[in-house]
Amino acid sequence: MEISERIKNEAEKTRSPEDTVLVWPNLVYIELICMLFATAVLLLLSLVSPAPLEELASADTTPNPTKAPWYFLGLQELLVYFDPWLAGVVLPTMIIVGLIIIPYVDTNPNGKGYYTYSERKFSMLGFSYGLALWYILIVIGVWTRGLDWSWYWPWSDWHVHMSVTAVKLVDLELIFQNMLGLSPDPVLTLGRYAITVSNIMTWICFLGYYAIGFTLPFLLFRNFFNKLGIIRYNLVMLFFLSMNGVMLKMLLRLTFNIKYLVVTPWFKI
Amino acid sequence: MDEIWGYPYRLGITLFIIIGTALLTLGFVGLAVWLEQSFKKEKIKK
Repeated sequence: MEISERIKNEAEKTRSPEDTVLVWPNLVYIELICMLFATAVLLLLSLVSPAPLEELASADTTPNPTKAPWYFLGLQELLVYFDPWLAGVVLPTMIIVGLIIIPYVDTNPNGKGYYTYSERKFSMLGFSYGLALWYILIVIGVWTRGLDWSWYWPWSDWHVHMSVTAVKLVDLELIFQNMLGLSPDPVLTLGRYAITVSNIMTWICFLGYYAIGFTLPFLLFRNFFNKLGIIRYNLVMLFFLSMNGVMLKMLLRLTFNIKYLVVTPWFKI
Repeated sequence: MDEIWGYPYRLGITLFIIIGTALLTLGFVGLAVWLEQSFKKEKIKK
């Protein structure tokens, strides 16, 4: 049965016509009031906390660090962990596309227009986690990044530069090479791309993460897969795994000083 | 202690991010549950 039909049937089953109201004027009026209220709150906020434009940029005054407005600091913080093509282009695009596809992958006919946690645990948890991840990046950018974009706790001396040599970042490839004593000589050369054994291992780790991520829910939660269908399931898992991948990459860098998971001459992840 | 909180603060930052994200997630979900419950109660009143 089509989803739209299922939703309609469900609605007819649970609600009789006298339990419903019209969109116009009942709903639109409430929306109008909300819009006016939100505008008033924004006006008040801008009075309490003004954000004036600063003077023209000058080569004589170069602030350190240069911080974006708070709502962009999450994005700026992402640049610590990913190259600009990923942090500035791919990831924001994935966030926007991911948000756009939510209504199209939603097959749950319960509570349409009345989205509740008890009826949508996975969706609510997944979305809240993504939102939390975004906000924690903003919190880091606003309150813990000082000179040279180094990490400063509130009790650190914010006027002293942190030693930049204290953190030595390495690629996962090199870690494999040193840990397992693998040869740095390439086993295969594709143009500029000299592929070593350790390089292949990083690809196995990277693609394996997605492979396991796609397969495990399919094996363990078959009902979840059946409900979504193959296309929706793959879309949901792609975005969900990528979101978790961002967190994972951040933690790998912070805890184990790993700079890149996969290195090629053309792109690095 | 210095190894955890001293520069480059690796463990401290990792814990901060994990706990912070978990708390924020719980906060957002808590808000959703609280709203759901309060709307339910309102319905019963009517």
